[in-house]
Amino acid sequence: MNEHELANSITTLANGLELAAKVIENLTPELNIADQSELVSIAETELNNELINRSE
Amino acid sequence: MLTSRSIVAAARIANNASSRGKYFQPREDTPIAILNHATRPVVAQEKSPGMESLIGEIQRASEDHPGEMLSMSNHGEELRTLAKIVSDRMLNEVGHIRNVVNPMIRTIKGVVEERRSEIAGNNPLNMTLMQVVVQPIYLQDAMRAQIENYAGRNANKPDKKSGLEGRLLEDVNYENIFEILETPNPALNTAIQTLLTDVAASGILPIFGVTPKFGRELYTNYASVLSFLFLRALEAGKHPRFKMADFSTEERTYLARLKAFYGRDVELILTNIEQDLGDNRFYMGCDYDTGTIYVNDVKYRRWLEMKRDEGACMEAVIGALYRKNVALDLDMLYNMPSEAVKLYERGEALHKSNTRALTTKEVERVTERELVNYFVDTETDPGIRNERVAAVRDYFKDRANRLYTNESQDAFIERATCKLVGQGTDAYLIFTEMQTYLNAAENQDRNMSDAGAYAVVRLLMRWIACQVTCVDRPRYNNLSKIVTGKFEAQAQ
Repeated sequence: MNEHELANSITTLANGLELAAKVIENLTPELNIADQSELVSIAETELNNELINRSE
Repeated sequence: MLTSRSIVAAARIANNASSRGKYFQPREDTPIAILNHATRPVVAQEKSPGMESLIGEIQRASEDHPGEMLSMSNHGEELRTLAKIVSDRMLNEVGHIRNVVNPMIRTIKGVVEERRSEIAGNNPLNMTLMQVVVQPIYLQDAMRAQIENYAGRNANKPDKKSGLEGRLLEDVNYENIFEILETPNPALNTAIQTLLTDVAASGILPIFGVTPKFGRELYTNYASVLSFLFLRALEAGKHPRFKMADFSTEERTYLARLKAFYGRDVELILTNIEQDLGDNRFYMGCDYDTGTIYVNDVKYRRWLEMKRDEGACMEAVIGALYRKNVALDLDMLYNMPSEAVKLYERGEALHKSNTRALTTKEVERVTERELVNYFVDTETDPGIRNERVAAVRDYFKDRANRLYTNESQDAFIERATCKLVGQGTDAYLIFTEMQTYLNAAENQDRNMSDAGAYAVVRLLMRWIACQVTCVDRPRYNNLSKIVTGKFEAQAQ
């Protein structure tokens, strides 16, 4: 149960990050994004910060 | 299919949370829940040390397996569809901000700036001192010598001789006037040149006019001295067209009487100037329409020199004189300039506080008016138009939406415009994020485009975080270590 729960937890967050990465990819030409990878990294950090804020 | 980058990043967050006894699961009916449903369940391996990497497990679980499970949707397709919906919404928001909200903010700021300039221009302390100079010709001994003979004479201006004065001036202009008036005395010539420079600036050659004997015009109207010098030159044969012999006896008599009149007039002018310069009362009047205070240059400079230690300065003059409807206390200005400086400082402080209060009201008023105009001009449906206008009115009636004392006027305009014109969007959030990004010291070399992208990502991640709920569970430190170790190894 614990591994399953952890795996689900990771899957949930991975889906969120994957969705964010895809959205960033779609927005890249329109928003004139110079470094897509940098924004994906920002997205990862932001998700972590948001979740910490919400879970405390 | 999920990429290993997403899984590794997710694992870092999940492991960090699990070490604090927390796990994440999607909220029902959210895009994340839809994507989770499109991922096959991960089969748990009981024996941790020998278990297969969870990254691989999760990646395989998210692979598309057409026909394998009829009830399951295709993860890749769901991801593309959801990403498109979200991207389109984000683009709409950014487009609305770029095309409507931002130009509106710029317009309002422009109108406010114009008004601010007007108010600043109305500062009563924005007055200038015009130092009325004493022409060197009035201080020349050579000039005094030329008119000494006329002192005490009773010389009235003779009645005009029809056409004579006009004829005398026909060939006289700015180009040849110095040549005509030039004397054998170099110092006097220099003074004449200085006088003519001033005359040329006024655009009028006032020969045969009369200088008033008192007030500012005593110093600024040069008609009498020019007329005297011109008639003296005519007598000396320096007129470009006429010699004295060309005139009839009657005309020569007239010209002699005219010269005597101007000689006496200039002598009076010199005497009056000499007497006037004898005291320190330098104030010569004020034009409140143009904000100009006229002072006698010689006397003003002398006063500055004499009263410097007692506060004599330009601010003292303005302080004593800027209030239009207050009785002048020139004695205070001349004798206790530091008191007048205090009046200036008081006026300045008062204006600053008035300007602040006025512009706060003005900014609110201008912003409300421009936003109302925007909806009146752009909303074609009368019902929606009225609704929007009423929303603007209500917004500004609410005290919570007023311009806070600790808020910049720009921030107030941005807030009101984002909330009213950007209604139904996250315009204000994006705008605020952009400002925060651009104000950060480490982002000095970044531009608006970078800030826009950053703000959108922040908004996006808040939206994604809202779809995840955090659940408290007992801690599984051993599992956390194993999984973390594996992920870290893979990430490297």
